[in-house]
Amino acid sequence: MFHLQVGRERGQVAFKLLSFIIAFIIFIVVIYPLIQMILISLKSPANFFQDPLGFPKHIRIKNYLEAWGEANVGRLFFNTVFITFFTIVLTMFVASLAGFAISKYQFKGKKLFYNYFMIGLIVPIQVLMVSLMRVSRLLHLQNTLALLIFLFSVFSLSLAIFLYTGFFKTIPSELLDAARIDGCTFMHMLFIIILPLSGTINAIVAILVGMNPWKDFLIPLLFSTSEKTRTLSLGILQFQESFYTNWTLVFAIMVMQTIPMLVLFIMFQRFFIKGVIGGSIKQ
Amino acid sequence: MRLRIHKLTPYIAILPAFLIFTLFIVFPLIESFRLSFTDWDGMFFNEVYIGLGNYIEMMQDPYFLNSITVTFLYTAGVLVIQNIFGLLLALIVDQRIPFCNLFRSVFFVPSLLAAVVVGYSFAYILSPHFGVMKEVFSFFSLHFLSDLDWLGDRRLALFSVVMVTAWQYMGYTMVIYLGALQSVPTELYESAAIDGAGRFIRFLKVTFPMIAQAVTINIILTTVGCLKMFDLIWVLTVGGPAMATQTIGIYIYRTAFHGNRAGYGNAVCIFLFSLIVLISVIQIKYLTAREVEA
Repeated sequence: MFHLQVGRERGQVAFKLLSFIIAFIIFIVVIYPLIQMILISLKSPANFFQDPLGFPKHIRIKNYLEAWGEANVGRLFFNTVFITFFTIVLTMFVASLAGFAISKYQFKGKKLFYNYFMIGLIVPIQVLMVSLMRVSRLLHLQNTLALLIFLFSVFSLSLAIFLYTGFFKTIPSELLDAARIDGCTFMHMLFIIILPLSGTINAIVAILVGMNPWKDFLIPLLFSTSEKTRTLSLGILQFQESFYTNWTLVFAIMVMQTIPMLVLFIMFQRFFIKGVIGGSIKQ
Repeated sequence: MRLRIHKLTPYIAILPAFLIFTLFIVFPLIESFRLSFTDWDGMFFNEVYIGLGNYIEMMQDPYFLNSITVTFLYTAGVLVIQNIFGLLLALIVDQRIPFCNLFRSVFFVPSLLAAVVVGYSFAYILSPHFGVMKEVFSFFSLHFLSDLDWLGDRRLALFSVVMVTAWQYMGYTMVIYLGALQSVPTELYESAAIDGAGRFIRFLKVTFPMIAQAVTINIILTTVGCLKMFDLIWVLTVGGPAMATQTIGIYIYRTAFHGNRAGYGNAVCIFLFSLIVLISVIQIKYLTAREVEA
């Protein structure tokens, strides 16, 4: 019996050691491209061609300044931040309004409207990309930041409404009854009582919605025809196509585009993880 | 509960969402459907109705049929590899091993990266001239592997694209599995262990049935994600070489915007839409079933 116990414990340790080794190998595989990106971004072009894989001989911060100047990164950054900010604001506003009405009010056709909004979960941009070109022309919105904001927000709106509706249902109705007796209007209840109570869900929605303008380039590829509306992701693609020999600068812009996401992730990891689970199933 | 406010209030509240939806999703969808019966060139408003012409052509178009095969192989490949690694990682970081929190966070990081960043990093890593893959394989004297052109060879490109996709999103899959694993009550493991069940049996008889839902969710998410995939493949291979990685998404973009055949492109859009609806209906059913439970 005693031997069996020792054997089992030794098995445990061996199993954990094996797990650790596998995790460590995958850790290297996952982290390597990131380290490589930073190393290349700090090399001089000559250093890069002689020794593409090693550490930089001299750390060349100048790459960042050159990339910033040549690719007009300031403009791209501004556009991306602008689009991200207003996409988040618009989506949260529109989705919380709809979510509040659907979760806390009785009205005819409620179920129908909810299902209508859920269509967005099914239709991806790829299916609509051709006809959206035409629609944007009909609306006279071609090549405007407003169009990009609308598009990024409409493709996350269903998920946002889904999350808000689900969460608002859990807020006790007595709270709202009391507020209403005190003379609170719909907007007051939403903005003074409901939304401040929904900190976590607000963060999740903001993250899920805000990630797209940073990550995706299909929407800007289709709808930004000039620098005026170009985002960082698209800028990198086009910069690489026109200066394809200048890898060090391309990697420098890539680092600049990645850092804001990483900083946000480190600060708000909890919400990112909840967002993944919330986006896949109802919590 | 019933709030007696002005009868119109809820309608006004859902109006903005309704308008944005109608304008940017439902109306374009109807337009897609309508335009799929025309020969629209994508530039001028001068399309002519040609009935089922586009759909008939589609069924005989070798490029379209190729894109279906590619999409199917791509989806199947990512589905298997990403889920195996996602589950493996979840099982590993769920144990109390050193640095398990660090591992968990780092494994998730790639799914936050932009497609351009992942694409160019790997275009470089997999390069036959100066990539690190080449160096690693030469170091281990695996010369038959070190000389391969991972993205440029027609027979390898799709495999490489699958691996890069799985690299990026296995952490995402892991998080969903982890959520499920952590909701398995520990008493179940204890009683199974007392009954003398080994590690593997415990996984098969206790863990797996408890995370079955997560498996379904991951399968659906990965499948729909793959059917929609455009940007990562575009950066890695632009659909090449010789259309070996040209998925339906890329094919639509090519025909509609480079080939100026927007009407035909729309017919392919409608096909893709039907495919995604089929899978998503299952997803929505699943989601609402859970909602009733909760």
